[in-house]
Amino acid sequence: MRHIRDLLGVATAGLFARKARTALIVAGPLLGVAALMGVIGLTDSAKGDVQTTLQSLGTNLLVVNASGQSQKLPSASLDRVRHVKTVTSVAGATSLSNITVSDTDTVRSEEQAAATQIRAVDPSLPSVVGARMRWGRFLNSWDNDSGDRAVVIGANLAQVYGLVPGEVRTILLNGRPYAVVGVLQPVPLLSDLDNSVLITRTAAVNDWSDDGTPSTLYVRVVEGTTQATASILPTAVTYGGPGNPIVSVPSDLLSASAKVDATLRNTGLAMAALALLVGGLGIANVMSISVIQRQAEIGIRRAVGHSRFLIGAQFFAEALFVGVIGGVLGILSGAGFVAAVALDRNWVLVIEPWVPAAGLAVAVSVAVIAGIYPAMKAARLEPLATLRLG
Amino acid sequence: MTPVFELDAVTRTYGEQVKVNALDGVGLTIMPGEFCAIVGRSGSGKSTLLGLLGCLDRPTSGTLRVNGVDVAGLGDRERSRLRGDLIGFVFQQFHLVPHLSAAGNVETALLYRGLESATRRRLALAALERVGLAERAHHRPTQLSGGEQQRVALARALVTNPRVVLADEPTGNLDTENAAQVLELLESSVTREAAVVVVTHDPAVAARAARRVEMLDGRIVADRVSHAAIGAWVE
Repeated sequence: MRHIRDLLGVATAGLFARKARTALIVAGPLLGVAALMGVIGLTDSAKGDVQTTLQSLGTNLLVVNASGQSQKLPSASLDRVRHVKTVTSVAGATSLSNITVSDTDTVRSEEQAAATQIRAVDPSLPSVVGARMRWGRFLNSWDNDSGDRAVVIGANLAQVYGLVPGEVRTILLNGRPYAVVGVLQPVPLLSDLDNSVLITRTAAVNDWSDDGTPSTLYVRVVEGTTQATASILPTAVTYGGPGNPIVSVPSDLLSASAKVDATLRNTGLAMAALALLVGGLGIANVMSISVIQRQAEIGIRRAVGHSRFLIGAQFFAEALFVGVIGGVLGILSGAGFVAAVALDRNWVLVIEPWVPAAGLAVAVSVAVIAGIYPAMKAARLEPLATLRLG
Repeated sequence: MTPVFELDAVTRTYGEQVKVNALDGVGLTIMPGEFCAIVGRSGSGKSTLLGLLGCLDRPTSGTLRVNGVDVAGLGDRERSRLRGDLIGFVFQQFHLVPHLSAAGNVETALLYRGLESATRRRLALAALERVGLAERAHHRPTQLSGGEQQRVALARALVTNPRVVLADEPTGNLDTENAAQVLELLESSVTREAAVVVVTHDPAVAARAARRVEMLDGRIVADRVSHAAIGAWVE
């Protein structure tokens, strides 16, 4: 409609003519939307670091563990899994038991020894699970082929042993000396690796009479196929044979901790909704009074040929403007508040795009609903009465 | 030539239980080029008549034609359009919108007509020029004297080139000097195509009009035309 431009001009002039009043009624939707943004932004940002971690680690890592008496997976399982279409990489590992680790000559206390896990792993492990070295190097294929006595140590264990970067250190596994070639950074999704001593699978066979079959598979799959792959992996591992491997998704736990506190958020949202409701009532109230105060203006506009519809539209447009201005300012102040808090607390700032969009939509809807009554009231005024003829 | 207004047995009744005939069987024809004064005491029905002529109200019975169009069948939108296109209003209280400048007030009569804002502004300034207020175009109503405000109102009424200007006690709130100025402008608005109808108590205003319609109790009791040449009123 070509009258819209005229209408907008009239509505903005009406609002700007009464700056203090306009500011007061804009405050309603502004505070409501700011509260909305604040609540969602703060609860999201509080978990933002976890979510960021999750994003960088990916949710596409699966761990397959053997269950039952043998605690072993079929010897061919590594190849079988590698041939699953959705699998991008896989590394095998074997847990070894009854080995006591001692740091140099000191035999560690029973508890500490028990907490230490010895694992024989493939050299591809770091690339599959996304582990990084703190220093040194990981076990490589030469180590594996030769079966040399090299170990990589998990982050926690390295701290317990007091390992200094670059230090030449030998540890004893049941008295056999092994050379420490590297220390891992903490592995966020697989914290059991942090307390592990890692050796090659060849060394496990040679030194510890292992049968060379894995007890655990670390499987990286194509993004988005995690659930589907998890459901078929047991069959892929056993080919229908005995054993019932357990598949777990390590990121699930982290995902759960990344979930936003629903109660806190709902309470906050309820308060924001209340603020918006009060803001809407404020708009309806102030604009109804405004219609009475502007009776003469309405009368004269009717006299110069503006129809009832256009008079209603004028007041409706004023309410709409209040909603838009309040919404936009509310988004800006809400976002500013969340950003300030996030900066102060060292959080990762998270404001999802739908939040400001929803905020604006809510503010505009509130203003529109609040504007209906004053607009109808203005449209219904009898010009003859308002102009007090004669 | 089409009459500006044509009333035939027009009645306007107010009230639900107790009916009051504000207008009672009024017949009246006003032609373009007329300067007509409607006079009468308070409650004589002249304001009701003005409301009807201005299409701000509708007759209870009888027919009212504005520029040949029967208003009985028109909805709000059509009547508003008729008002905007054919009629200009001037009121005793000026009724300027306080937050708009003089030019802005004149422009309100040009809104919703698909005009560019520059065109609107140009027409408004021309109308203000016509009433001698070109240099006051950007002043707010509160910055203008009563006489100036009424002239702005007159510019607003004239800016659309209406077929008739309806003025309701246009000099009621003005001193003699300003009143004379406004009356002069009203008089000069009478052209071959356009009429001026003034509702007034003021004998001095009525004396300026070429035609005088007297009302009493909702009826027209006298309708006289002055012959300036012989200086007398004739039936």
